[in-house]
Amino acid sequence: MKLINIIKNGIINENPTFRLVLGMCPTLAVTTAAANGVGMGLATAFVLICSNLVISLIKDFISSQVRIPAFIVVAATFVTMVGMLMEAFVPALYESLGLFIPLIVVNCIILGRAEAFASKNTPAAAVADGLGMGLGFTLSLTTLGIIRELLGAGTVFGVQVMPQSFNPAVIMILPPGAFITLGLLLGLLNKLTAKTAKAE
Amino acid sequence: MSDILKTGLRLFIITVIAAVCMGITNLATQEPIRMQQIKAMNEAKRAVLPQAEEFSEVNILADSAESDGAKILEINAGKSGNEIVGHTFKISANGYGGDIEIIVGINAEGKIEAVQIGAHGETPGLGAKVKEKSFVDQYHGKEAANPLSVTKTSAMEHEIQAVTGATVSSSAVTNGVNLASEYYREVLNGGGQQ
Repeated sequence: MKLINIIKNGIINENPTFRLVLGMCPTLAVTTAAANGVGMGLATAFVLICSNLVISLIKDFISSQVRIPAFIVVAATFVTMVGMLMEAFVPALYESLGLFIPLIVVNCIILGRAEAFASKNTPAAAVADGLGMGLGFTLSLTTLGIIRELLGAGTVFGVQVMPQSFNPAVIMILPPGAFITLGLLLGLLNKLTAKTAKAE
Repeated sequence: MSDILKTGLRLFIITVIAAVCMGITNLATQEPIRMQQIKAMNEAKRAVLPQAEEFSEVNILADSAESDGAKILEINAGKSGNEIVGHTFKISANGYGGDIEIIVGINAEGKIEAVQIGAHGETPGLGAKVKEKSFVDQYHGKEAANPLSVTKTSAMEHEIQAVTGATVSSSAVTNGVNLASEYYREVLNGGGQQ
């Protein structure tokens, strides 16, 4: 499989949020604003690329009985390091993402891709998969964030777009809004892809 | 048996390498992180009491330093020349997602100069909004003589309008600010003496 296809696969065909439906916890929890979606997505993408690379490099060294703890150790190490480096050198970013960073460890996309892809493929392909999945995750989270922020606060990326008379529906930035938005988006995408499949 | 040992040994090697990597990162970032925190604290003090030129730490009387899940961590007297122009309080209050760090500045006239929120664990998009200017600016100019309360509708005198959907976080910050006012009233006697 060509690398570009692997990347495309992660963004579209096997989009982690809308196709694999993996990593729902951060998806539902942090998409209250578009900027949070971008931040969480990019931080996850970074950890995913690093952990995919390392796991595919050491795949022959890990015996299959202990692969899960080994994968978790690799992911947790990267997350901890990213957290400390961010706090030391980019405090502003750390401040807005601080709470989400430890959450990346328990994001099942990391473990899922390690198990399903990185442990069976070459390092280059694993990095491509991490990049594709990471970007796919970022795009999905940003989309959810934009919709929820727009309807729940009347802003997008913190900029007021709705007229002053617009009365924000607070439910959209509360947990029910996350489920409603995600469900409707999933349904919409399923309908769209079902149509294209028929046309083909 | 040897298989178990081999597997265990390999996992052990992986964890040792991981621990070494984290240890090195920790060593390299410890000092910058501490500097960042000191810098942030100094900036916060200056922001909540802009008229002060220098700060000196004041001892805290333990029995007045706690109430309603809020706790005073640090008090500084802000001076301009030899005159005390106000006090800054660093307070930790019980929020929705753990402790919220609040920095309150009360000037020599007994009015709240400004409030800033430091480290917190409130929900992004909801409770975390207590950090925003539109919320903390409500405290500006309130008298330290009266305790403030939180309301869900438009705020009257001695009231603070809660962030929509985040009453717990808003109350936590207000409790923290009230604790600072109370300490100011009862211990600092209107700020005239230490």
